[in-house]
Amino acid sequence: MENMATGARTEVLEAARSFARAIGGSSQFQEYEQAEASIKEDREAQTLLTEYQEAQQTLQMLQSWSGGNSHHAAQFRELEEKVLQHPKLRRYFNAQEGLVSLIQRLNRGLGEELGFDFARLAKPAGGCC
Amino acid sequence: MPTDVLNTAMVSFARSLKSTEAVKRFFEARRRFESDEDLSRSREAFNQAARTFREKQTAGTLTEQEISQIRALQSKMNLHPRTVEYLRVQQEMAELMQECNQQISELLGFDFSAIAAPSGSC
Repeated sequence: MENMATGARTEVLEAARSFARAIGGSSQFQEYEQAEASIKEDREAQTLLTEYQEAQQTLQMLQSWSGGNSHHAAQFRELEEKVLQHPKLRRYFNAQEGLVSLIQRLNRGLGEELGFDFARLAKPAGGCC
Repeated sequence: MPTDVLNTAMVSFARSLKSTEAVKRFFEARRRFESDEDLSRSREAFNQAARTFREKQTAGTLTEQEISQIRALQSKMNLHPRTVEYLRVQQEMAELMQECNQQISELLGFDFSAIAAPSGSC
């Protein structure tokens, strides 16, 4: 920001960090961190999560190429069922959903205050679609 | 942390952004872009031509001359001083938003904008 007064720039970046710290102190963020930590300590949960994420990626890739096949879809559903029954993973996904919902709500709030979508403009260049 | 603390931090961040020259220049450029009569006429002419273009394209009756016409209208709109100014100022403002997003994301450990932006929005 060459043409932006240094004081104003420092002030706005500090306000951004305060905003981030407030998110970091929210119950949604805390719950997400705890849920994530509990998975990192659990080898079985970690393995299941990796398998699930890989199966999800494979299924999405196959669907975009050829509409997918029933074998992979069934395999994915089976893993999904296991993931949903695993208490730590269920907690992790619920926490993730809560945090995403909070972030999106805050961005809508920023948009109402600003009159434009902060996140849409803040996306790194070239990271669109 | 209570929700009101979070909302206060959000509002404070938004107000801090709004007080920057980059955002003030953006609002002014947007106002000029939206209210310019010459540009409004160009936009209307382009939108009308685009509707005709789509209809003729579907019917397979589009001519080379019509393609050139719509390109000329598009260029006129894109090269209009108000459009050029608006896009330049928006880009300058986006750089500030990206810098703020980087600060936020570093503290949180994930990209705030990627999570917050509605999917498919560019």
